[in-house]
Amino acid sequence: MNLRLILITILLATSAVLFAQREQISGTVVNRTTGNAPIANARVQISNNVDQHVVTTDELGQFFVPNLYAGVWRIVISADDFGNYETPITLQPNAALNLGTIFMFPAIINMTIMETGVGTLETEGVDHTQSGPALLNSSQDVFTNIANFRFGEMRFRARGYDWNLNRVYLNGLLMNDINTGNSPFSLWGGLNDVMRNQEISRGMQPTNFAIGNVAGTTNVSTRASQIRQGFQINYASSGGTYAHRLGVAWANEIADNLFLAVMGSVRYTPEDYFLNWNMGTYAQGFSYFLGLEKKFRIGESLSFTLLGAPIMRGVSSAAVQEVYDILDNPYYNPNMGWQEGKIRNARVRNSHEPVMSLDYTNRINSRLRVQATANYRFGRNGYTALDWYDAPDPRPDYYRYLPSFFNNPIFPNYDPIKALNVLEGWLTDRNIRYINWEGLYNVNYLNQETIEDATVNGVQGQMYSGLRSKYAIENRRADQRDFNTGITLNTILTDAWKVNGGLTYRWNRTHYFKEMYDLLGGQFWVDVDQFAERAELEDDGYTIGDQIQNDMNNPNRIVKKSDTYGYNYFAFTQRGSAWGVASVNVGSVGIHFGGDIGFTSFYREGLFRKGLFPDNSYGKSEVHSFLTYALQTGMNYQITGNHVVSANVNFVQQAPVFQDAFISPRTRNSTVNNLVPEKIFAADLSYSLRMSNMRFRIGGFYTEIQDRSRVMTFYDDLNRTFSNFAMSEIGQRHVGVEFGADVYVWNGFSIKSAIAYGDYIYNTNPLLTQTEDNSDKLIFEDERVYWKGFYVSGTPQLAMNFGIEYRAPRNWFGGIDLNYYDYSYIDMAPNRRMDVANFGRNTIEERAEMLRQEKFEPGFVLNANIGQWRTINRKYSLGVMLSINNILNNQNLKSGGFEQARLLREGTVSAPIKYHPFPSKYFYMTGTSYFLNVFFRF
Amino acid sequence: MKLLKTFCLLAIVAITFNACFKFDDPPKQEPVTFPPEKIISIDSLKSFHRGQPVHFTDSIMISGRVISSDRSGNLYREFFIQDETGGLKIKVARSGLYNFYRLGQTIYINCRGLTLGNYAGTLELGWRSVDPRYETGFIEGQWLINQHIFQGPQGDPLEPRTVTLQQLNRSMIGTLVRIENLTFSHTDRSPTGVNIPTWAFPFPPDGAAPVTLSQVFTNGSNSIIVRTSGYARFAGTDMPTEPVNMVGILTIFNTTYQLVLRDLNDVEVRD
Repeated sequence: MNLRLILITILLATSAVLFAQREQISGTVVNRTTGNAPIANARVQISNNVDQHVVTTDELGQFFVPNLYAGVWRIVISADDFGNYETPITLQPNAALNLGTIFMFPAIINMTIMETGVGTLETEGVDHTQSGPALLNSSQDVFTNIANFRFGEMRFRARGYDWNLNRVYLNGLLMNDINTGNSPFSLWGGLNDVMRNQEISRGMQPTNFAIGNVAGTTNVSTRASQIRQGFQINYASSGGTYAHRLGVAWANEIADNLFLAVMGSVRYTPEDYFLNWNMGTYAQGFSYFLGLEKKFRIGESLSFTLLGAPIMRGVSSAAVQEVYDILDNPYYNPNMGWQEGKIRNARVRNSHEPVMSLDYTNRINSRLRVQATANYRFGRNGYTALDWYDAPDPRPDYYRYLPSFFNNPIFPNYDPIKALNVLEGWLTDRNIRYINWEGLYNVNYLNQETIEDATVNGVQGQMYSGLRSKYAIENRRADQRDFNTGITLNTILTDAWKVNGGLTYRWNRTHYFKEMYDLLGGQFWVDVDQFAERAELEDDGYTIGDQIQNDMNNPNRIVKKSDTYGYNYFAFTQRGSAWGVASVNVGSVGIHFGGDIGFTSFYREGLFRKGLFPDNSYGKSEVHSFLTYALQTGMNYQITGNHVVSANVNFVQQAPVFQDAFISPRTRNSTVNNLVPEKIFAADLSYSLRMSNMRFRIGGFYTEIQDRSRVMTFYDDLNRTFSNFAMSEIGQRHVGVEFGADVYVWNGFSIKSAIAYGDYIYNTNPLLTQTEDNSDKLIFEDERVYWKGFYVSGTPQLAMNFGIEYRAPRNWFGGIDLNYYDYSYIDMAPNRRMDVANFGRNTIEERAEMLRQEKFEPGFVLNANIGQWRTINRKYSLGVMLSINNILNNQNLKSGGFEQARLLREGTVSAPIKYHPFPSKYFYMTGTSYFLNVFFRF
Repeated sequence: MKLLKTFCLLAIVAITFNACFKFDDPPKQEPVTFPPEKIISIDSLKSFHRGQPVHFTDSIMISGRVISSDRSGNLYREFFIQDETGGLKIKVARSGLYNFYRLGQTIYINCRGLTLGNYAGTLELGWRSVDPRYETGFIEGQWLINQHIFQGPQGDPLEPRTVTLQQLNRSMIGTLVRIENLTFSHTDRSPTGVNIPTWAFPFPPDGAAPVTLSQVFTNGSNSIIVRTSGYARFAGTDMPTEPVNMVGILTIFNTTYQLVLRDLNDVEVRD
């Protein structure tokens, strides 16, 4: 396996002639920050489009790779706790290339196995939540390195793009959620230790398995032979994500050319963890991974992976500022309450979505490699919520339960003394400021009812008696079966030309439905939509009784625990594509151009016949198909080995996703008007430099998105139903610069910095159609929304990091860094910037109240870390890292927020129409918290 | 072997965790009771009102059994309690009151801080009013409700007292009565100008708000108004054309007696 490199290196130095017929590469790998001490057991991978050679460095840090051939190769050197070194190399015929001393810089990021992102927070009522990357990996790119690690605390999104533009692949197949475009990192949460084999393409560069993508690509490879061999135990604890996270992984060759990798991990946060700022949030998960790989001969292997990350997480939701001020606590959680002394959360995410992957690769000859992969994702995913029927709203922060409801002189119920009474209740009674769980049970305990003409177990016309729940917990499920397959060909045509291409196909069936999760002390629930009772009698024979049915095929269905009710439908999606990229190297210039053409089609199949839409809800909808294509070109100019200029241009036409195409998929088959594909034009330019003591990258980008469609769903508490805002003709323009630098200064000290500065705005005035789930009327149809010039929300448009790191002898390290965030804007409610909402507002000041988009206050965050790792008996490796985040305890930084879509009508019915915006809801970045990581490896 | 042991450990940890975050049903809430010597009769409370709204500053308690339900939507933000001496309307700004104050249940009310007022002849207990048109406002917010209204033991729904139209008198206001042999006569001040055959007018033309109707019923010699809200679930149901017996809460509007139905079970078709 390992060559006796010392001997051979000496031989090499003295007898280059002996190996004249074969090309080779050698070098020495050292740790720049410890006086160039050699790094042993570093993994050196030299590969081109077709072949891959892997060796490890010896005790002197040296490596030697013979049996290569002339052409363009890529070298990737990786070592535990160091940032990867990657560069392309051109090997001339008959050359023995000595790369000399290769400087590696330690990266504490490799030690960081915790998930960040929106683990415990989410936006109330908005059905598709955005989830950020849960995986931090040491990317080659100095900007991405720092940005992913540091800016995640503020939910930073690079270049302002939604996660759907950031493509994540597993073994070469795209794994982003097909219905929402969200990133799939939560599928393998807790398994980071075996998911480290990642190829991150910078910006719009193409990869071996796809053309370049607008926001970059991450490919995770789970081939067992490429996972770090040996044992790894990782324990982490955090005030922010998981109180305890323990993972154990092991990989090795278990038989001749048969590799096995396994991992198990546990993640747990109790509901009353005192170091967790986010009250009432908790988590419990267990993840597993099994990988098997058989290498048949050099370059041919078959690998099988099974992984899963079942988890249950009680989450927090945003609340209005008034509530945070009353309680003097920006981390109040309206989803929680006490039940018999224990905290209980109404909003629990629960999922178990295993993934199986079968991956075959074969280097057919030195010019051709083929890879075929199939992934299958299945399982269950849901989140719970309170449901109630003909009973008062149980949510503690419902606007009528707040002092402000009585404190505004323009409203008829103005009564400041009542406001004080309500405030008194908030301050003194925890069953008022939180969900009163025991109260909900007691309402159910007393509600003896008899339903005449009910459907029981599929049989209609039954009489049924018992305790009918008025309050219950529902579980909104989205269970997917996602089959994904692709075949890729990587070829080397000539020394200069290489061509990659392939075919992909993806099929998905997602089952959306609601199930009864907890009857809260009652015995049954009845499946009717109470507010549909107000709908007008139509003259076509359907009675009011029919209109309240969620499923006319089972009228007045008696629902028990785990029964399906409310809504029930399938979303079927298919995608296929053919793609190709050609790259050519002319001297120090590399040019690539590629394209992708395909189709996306989807349809809905309703499984309930909704009473309000008897002819448009049950059965299959029309199939909607879209042509998709992309064109991509770019160039890399290597001025010298250390300076690279690269430029890329992309043009993409992509289909809208299912959830953005149907106006109210829970109730009917109707789609958004003007359903057209989305078009994206993106260009970027960057310059990067890598020298012995520094890495530096600066670049700019410009992106235009046109004809985007989105459907946003909000819970309308007036009508006790979901309200859907379907918007079309959304256009966005993103422009900005990115800068990253990592400079080794002197004697163990390095300075690092990253800056992302952008201007992301809407550049069109979209159209809006609003519907409600319990009515067949359109509230608005194709009304203009004045968004032009307003800002894209959800990320700070300016993020700056400046840090100092110190690496001491004996592998001690520490650092301190300061982050600054600004230009973060609130998520706009679609209906505020319409003519209708602004009736009666005639002066600029009056209009400003409705039109102004809130910009959050900027702020600083100071973090520090310290750690050490050591090798014991040359075999064991033990490391500890502790970081303290937000040392200044800044609790005033809003990390996100949204405008409520509800508009309150001022005055009485007879007064002229004037609407009043509801207060916005926010979440705040947590105060000082810690993160501790201990690892043990051998 | 080591591998196996570690996995077993993790599996055990995972299984024990599964027991977390599960909740048992909490115990039933105990009904509250107050000793009878602290309680005055509804009639005595009503006598405090002598033409002006009364704001109570002492801890006076009354008790009664619930005779109304807002489940059908005919009543809204109010419920009625009745003891041996009479009945009283309680104004609470909350929907779905029947979930908390059930027919037949005993309710105790501490009147300290509350206001007793008169609306067109019907006395009501609530909060002080901020609207000059009404003498009482609504008890609102869980904290205020917790201070004043206490849920006592459950009980069977009360039987109505059968009376004739001639026997009606003001002491019966706010109590549950049953009147026999009533036939629909006409719609009082109909918004359409003609008689409306349904209990109320839930779908006026042009999408206007539902309209409450005063439907006049007669036993031949005397009449009474049956007042039904346009928001009631039975608002759009046709009224019977034959004579019926009706149960309801007796209220008054100036000089006219009114009956408020709880739901259509209060209408008994005579055989």
